[in-house]
Amino acid sequence: MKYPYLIMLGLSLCAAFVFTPARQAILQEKNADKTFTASAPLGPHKASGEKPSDTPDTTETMNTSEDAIGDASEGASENVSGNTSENISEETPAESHPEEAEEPSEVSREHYFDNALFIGDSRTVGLFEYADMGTADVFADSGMSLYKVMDVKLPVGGEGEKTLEEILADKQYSRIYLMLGINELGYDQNETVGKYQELVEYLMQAQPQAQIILETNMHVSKKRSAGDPIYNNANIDAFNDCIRDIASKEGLDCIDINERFDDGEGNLAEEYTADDAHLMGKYYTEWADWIYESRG
Amino acid sequence: MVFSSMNFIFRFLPLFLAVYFLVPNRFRNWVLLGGSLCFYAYGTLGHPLYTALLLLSGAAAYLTGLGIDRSAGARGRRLCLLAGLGYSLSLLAFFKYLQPVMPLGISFYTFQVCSYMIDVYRGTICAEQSPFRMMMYVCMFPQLLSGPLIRYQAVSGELKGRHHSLAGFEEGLRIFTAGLGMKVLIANQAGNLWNQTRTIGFESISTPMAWLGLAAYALQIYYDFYGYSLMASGIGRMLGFHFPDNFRQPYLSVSMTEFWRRWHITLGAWFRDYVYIPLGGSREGKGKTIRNLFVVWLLTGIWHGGSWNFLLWGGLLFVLIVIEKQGFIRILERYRILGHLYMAFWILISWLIFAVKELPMLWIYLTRLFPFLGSSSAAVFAGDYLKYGKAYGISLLLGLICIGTLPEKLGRRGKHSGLTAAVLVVIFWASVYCLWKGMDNPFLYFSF
Repeated sequence: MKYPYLIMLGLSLCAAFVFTPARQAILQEKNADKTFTASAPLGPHKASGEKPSDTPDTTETMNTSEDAIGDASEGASENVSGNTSENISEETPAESHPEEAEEPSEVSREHYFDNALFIGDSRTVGLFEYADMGTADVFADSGMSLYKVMDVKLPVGGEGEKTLEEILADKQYSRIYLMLGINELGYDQNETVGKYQELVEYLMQAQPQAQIILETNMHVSKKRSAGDPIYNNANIDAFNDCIRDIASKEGLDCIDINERFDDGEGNLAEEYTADDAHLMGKYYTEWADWIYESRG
Repeated sequence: MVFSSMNFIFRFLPLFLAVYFLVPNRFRNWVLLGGSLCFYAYGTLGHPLYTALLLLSGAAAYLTGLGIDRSAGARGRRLCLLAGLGYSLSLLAFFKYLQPVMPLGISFYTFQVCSYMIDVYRGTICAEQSPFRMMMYVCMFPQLLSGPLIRYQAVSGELKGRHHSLAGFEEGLRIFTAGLGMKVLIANQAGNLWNQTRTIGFESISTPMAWLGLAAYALQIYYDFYGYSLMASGIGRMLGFHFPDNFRQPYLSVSMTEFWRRWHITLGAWFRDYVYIPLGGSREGKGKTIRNLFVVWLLTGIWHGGSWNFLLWGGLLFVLIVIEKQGFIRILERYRILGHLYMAFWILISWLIFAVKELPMLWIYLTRLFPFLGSSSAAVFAGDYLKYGKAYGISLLLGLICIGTLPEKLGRRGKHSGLTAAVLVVIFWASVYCLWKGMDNPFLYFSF
């Protein structure tokens, strides 16, 4: 071959055009993100692309886990009554409700999170990296969404990778914090709200003795919000309102961290962020302290 | 429109090449000029003034050249040159210091037209008589935005007539792909890692993370610039041009002096030929040599940016190069391992000053690099470097592997051209995949 690269590149281009969806991506000038967003109004089921194809699996998993809820809660109650875990038997006596047992105002900041579980996305990951969260557990990952939270396995408490279901079966928590919803903004909102509701109901059934606290999603900065058709504060607020509705319907606490880091106009204040979406490391402590101070 | 975008690779470039090669040879320069103006106008959409400024710079260079050519006396020639240089350089200074945004590519095309005017004044080249060819030289889209800085005599022959061949086209495509891979697969990823240090905040990064982030920045700035230069050269080669090399494995240098002969070569040569040597170079005693070096590095700092840190950066390079000139360079060249260690350290420190515009932040970063300078008051996640090292390790490793002559070998047609072609196809599609996923753009590829 005299011109191997020309020939190989030419052939691969032709093949890509004929046999793969690269054609649409190239011709319609859509990157993966836009391709996905554009089809989102149809609902994740009908959309093409990799993310939405998860959805049926998620639903299935949700169903199976609902089937398994009985076992899970049995497991949990076993834990509480007869488990060897000293931690649990000491701090949360099986007979009493944990939230009654602890007088919130008397618990020190140092131990406040000791029996808590946090479920969330990269913001919650940052909280555990930079704030002192005591011995609290975290089930969070960058890019976590309601559509995959029941499927993924994450390392928790140094005991290897576990699903959320396994974590809830292994240990009785006194409080469970949940902050999710921002990665789902490109999806159909009703669908996402349904997922959120399902997850909340699942948590309530799996750990009926835990206090479940819904955290509304933190805003992005004004700059980001103005330039982003999806991840903007109008969309975040719309979803946060849905979270508040679910909280009041289920009788759960709902806390809004935006009270702490707001710029006065409903955005994450620029001084707290360098990437317009995440807190800088040193401010996570203030987030944790704020959760402690707004207990009750 | 940057070269490393879906828009350029799958729309502009194929369309342009098709028209360019379909028309008869004598119209190809018209296609090139027209395509270049479209490229620039599209890239500066919403600022028609910028395209006008580009054309005016070309016109100024053309008229200055003719003026110098036609002036009888030395005084007239000098006046013409000063007028031309004054217009171009004051425009550059105006945008650099008095405007928040600079027109795309102005630092580059201004230096190109200056080199042309000075060369005509010195008589090393004849003034271009055709305004059309002058405009081609100034506006040619492959090198318009970020170099290489091309001297007029290097391309004037090829502007008049050049040889197009399939072999040249293949070679150009290879060079373009190698550059694309550098930009997308290494520079963009390494850049994301560097941005992570900002996202966390310099106060809260661990010491290993501070070094990792800085190393990532060093890789980003190299592959970003080298990759872009290669893409420019590759497109030039496809069209029958031969552009000068802009980088020659600079990170393998053992001294700062050597580094700047191998990094952004065309800019270094520009300052050497139009500032350093006219001032007397190193031929007029130690004192004057140091003064001349000072002027060159001050101007180099100014050229790179309008804020204070660039002066500090130029100052640091000046000090290092002066120390090397006092004989230290002989030690570095003799004990090459020492030279590499010395350069690894100073390359990173110099890029830190280049990258961080705010001086208080610079100090904070230094205390993170060297914990004995002071401790951080903020919380630090001690495992941060493992987390991000794992996420970006492959790109950083690729970056280290390509510091040598490997990328050049991929670009050249040679003994193993079948194998290298296969590697390039993989690089091409991996880059396109990353572009499609929006991974080059932190605002598109974003998960919370």
